[in-house]
Amino acid sequence: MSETVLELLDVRAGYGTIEVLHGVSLAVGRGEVLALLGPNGGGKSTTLKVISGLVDIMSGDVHLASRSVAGVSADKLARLGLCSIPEGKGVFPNLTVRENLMMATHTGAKLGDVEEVAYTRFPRLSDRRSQLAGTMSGGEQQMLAMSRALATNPAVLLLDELSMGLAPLVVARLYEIVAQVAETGVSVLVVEQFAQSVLGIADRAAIMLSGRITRVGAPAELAEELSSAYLGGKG
Amino acid sequence: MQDFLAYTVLGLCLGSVYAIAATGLVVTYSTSGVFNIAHGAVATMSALFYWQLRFDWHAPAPIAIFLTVCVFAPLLGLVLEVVVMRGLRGTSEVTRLVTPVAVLLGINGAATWIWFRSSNRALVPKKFFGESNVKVLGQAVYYHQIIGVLLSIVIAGALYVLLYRTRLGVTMRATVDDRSLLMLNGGRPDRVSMASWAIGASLAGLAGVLLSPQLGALQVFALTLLVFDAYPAAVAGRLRSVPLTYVGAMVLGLSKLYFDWISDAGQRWLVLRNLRNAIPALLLFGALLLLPQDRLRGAIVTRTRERFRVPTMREAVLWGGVLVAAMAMLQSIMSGSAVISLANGVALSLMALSLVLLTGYAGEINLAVFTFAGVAVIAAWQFDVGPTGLATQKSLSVGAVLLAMCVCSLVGGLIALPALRLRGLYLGLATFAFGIIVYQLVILQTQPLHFNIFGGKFTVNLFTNGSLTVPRPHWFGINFAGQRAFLMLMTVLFAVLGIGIIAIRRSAYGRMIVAMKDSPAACATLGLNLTRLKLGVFMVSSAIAGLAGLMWAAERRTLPNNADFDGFQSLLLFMIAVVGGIGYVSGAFIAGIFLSVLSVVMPDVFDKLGSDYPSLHWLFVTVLGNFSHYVGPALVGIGLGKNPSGIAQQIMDGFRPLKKAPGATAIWVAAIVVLWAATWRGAVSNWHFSLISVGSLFIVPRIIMSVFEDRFAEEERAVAGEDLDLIGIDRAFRSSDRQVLDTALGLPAGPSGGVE
Ligand SMILES: Nc1ncnc2c1ncn2[C@@H]1O[C@H](COP(=O)(O)OP(=O)(O)O)[C@@H](O)[C@H]1O
Ligand SMILES: [Mg+2]
Repeated sequence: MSETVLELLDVRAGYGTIEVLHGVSLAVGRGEVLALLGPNGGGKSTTLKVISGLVDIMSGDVHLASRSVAGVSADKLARLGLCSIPEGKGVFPNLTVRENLMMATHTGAKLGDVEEVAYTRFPRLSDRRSQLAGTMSGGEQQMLAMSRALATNPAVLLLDELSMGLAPLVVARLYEIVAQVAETGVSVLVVEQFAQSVLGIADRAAIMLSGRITRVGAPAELAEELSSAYLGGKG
Repeated sequence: MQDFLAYTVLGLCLGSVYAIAATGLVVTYSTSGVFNIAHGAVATMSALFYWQLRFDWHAPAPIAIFLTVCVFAPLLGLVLEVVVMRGLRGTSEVTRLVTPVAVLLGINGAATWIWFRSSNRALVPKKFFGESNVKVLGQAVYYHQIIGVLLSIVIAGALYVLLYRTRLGVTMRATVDDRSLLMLNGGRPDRVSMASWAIGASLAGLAGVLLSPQLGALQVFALTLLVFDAYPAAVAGRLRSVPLTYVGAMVLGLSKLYFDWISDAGQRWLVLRNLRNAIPALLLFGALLLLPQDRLRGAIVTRTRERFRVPTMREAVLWGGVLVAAMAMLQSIMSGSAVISLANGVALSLMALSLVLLTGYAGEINLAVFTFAGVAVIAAWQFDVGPTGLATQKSLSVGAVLLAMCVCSLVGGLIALPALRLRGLYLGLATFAFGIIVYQLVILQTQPLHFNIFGGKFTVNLFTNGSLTVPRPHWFGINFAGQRAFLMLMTVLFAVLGIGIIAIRRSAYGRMIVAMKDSPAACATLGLNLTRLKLGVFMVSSAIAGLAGLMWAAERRTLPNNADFDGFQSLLLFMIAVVGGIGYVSGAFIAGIFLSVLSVVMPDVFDKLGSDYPSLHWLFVTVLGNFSHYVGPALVGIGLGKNPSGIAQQIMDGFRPLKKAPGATAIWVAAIVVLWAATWRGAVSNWHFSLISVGSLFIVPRIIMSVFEDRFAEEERAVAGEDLDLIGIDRAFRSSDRQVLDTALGLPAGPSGGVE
């Protein structure tokens, strides 16, 4: 594996007094796509929130480019080059498409550039630039959210359940784009419940159960284990 | 017809200024989630600042305006955001309501201190361009009013451009939509908050300057109330929509002017003379009740930082006894004037007690406690004195007290009913509006009301001569007219009511109340009758407020109808009750004493120091005395964000060590009793007694703590272990657990077996 960009070291974190992550360690290299898989409630979204600075860690450490970023605020991390698209709500519903893109400029990108990238990649968005994002279809909303990832040149991209509620064809197309992004050197951490959709693009995969990483390995290998986790394992 | 049009024009002029004021509220609320009750105070402070520049220092109007609206007011807003409001994240709605109240009282206190401390000079602001006007349909419309209209149009346009055309504005809207997503985008919510508070304050400042000439001479609280009039417009805009806020403001302005028109400027119906002043409150009440429910969802169940512990019945009775005994000992060695301050404090404590049940336990809000006092006094007076209007009765009868409590309870139920679906901020505003309505239409009413019921004539005397005299009771053969006896009566009442409230809290009913506070939705799904619960809590708490109000009035003997009922006293009491610890009976006691000490005793102490040391008079009287009088109560409220559970909690934490060392505690208590006896015999001065006893309160727990260190280490561990006793977190949820829950919540037994 090439140089490590994102690293979690024995992270414990949770909400209030309740610990959800019980010592999670992970590493994502430059240009690598790591798929974090596992059933609902396992702590995958929490892991992403920890990395993006929305949830404080109780112990352990998070490293970005070998520097500790534990305790750094989410907005600062975003400006430093960490792009995170949260589960199911990656857009501002009451803002128009164009205004959503405008929010991407907080990272320092120019609005004109952001719009150009977005509209070339997703021509469908350019017809809807003054439509409220909340009134668009799920696929269009994810395209809008992805535009931010494309236009702001992040070093790390975090995606939470991109496929949720979308048609398989749309999902395939979005992951194709994720793969292209990774090729430019971006480290990508993708969270999904079901392996199928991301297996094609993931370099490695990890399984998370009840707040612990239980396995790390090649995607195809893990796919099988994962289905047994759903059917027979602990929930 | 021409009159109608002319009044319409004037109404729109007034509405424009309200629009400016209300829009400021909307801007801050929608981005920070804090309803800035202090908006009116910011306006007041700015109007005074403008007066200072323009009319005292004779600066040219444009410069004065610029410095006020573009420099002073925004800076004030910025400071508020950074110093105070930022600390409110993650606190309960009550705390987020109370802190701006503290800011309001603090700013107004500071304004009073700066501008109205000494001489009674009148600060008279003038309209822009003086009295120059144009005649519109026969009505004089001042240039000042036209400027107001133009500015409101300009502001509407500027806000539109800001919110829809600039990145800052779009970011402000994005914060409202999804704050954490904005952070993931790299946006800085703190800066957005700062900007919105600066803009909101600037609009408040402008509204203050525009409204102030209405008053003739500037008065701090009157001007603040004038800006309060604009609040219903913001509520009409659901605290979010600027266009709807403008519509609300116009309705408000027009209502006032149309009332002027049909009532001949209030000359036509004497009984309704004050209706004009009540119109905004009526509209506020109406807007709150009429707006669709889902839009008013004020309360979201979240983890908040407040934590309250419930005492056992044994502890409650024990502490009640200790309170009465300590008070009996204390008053016997106190000077007459000290007893008066203390009695005032205990009376306020009684009033705060009604809030412990209502707000501390049930999570409901009443910002009109003093209104209940007023209602109680009217009812009791009616009973004791009757329609003759002659003060024949020399003491307060039990019947009068009962009647007052019943009437207050009914009135409490009356507000609770329409307000059933309101919670948090909106309930607070509704009760505040109710207080204003009663104040304007009932308490300020000096006409006796005559009713014809079944042919019989029936007269109700309100505050007929502008004040009512409330005699003290003569019960159980004891005359409570004397200050000390009355103090003891109130203390016993407090202890009894306090124990009663704790008993309620510990009962099944009390657990239902608390469940209602934590999650009304969950309670409804469990089959609890929320309507009955809420109504019941309101009625009981109002009855307590009525009783307390009667005692408070009797303590003062003569109650004038003006100063205490205009809303601010109720706000202050609510705030101090929260500061004391709204979840504790002891918190209510602390609150009352604290209020009395801060606003009466401290200034007295500084006065005395000032006359003892004339060379330091400026320090003691001018600075410290005024400071504690005007700004002190507010400052403690502003600190609430840091310690939202209140002072009572802190004190209890401080005294926890004593439990582990009963021997040492007994020695300490005995020492104080001996000291008291010595003081009583005159061997020790009062001053030394208070110094030593109060000082020991702070020092002894620490000494005990350090001596018995090893025991506390043990306790710490134990506490850490029992921290969480949630069912289902550490082990599976069993049907026996469900039975426990069902009994606790008073639910009918469900089918057995159930979830396993
Ligand atoms: N905001 C929150 N507050 C409290 N607990 C939460 C919160 N979000 C998630 N949890 C809990 O944390 C655990 C992990 O959730 P999550 O990280 O969303 O899992 P996943 O994304 O793998 O489905 C769950 O048990 C969930 O109930
Ligand atoms: Mg998830």
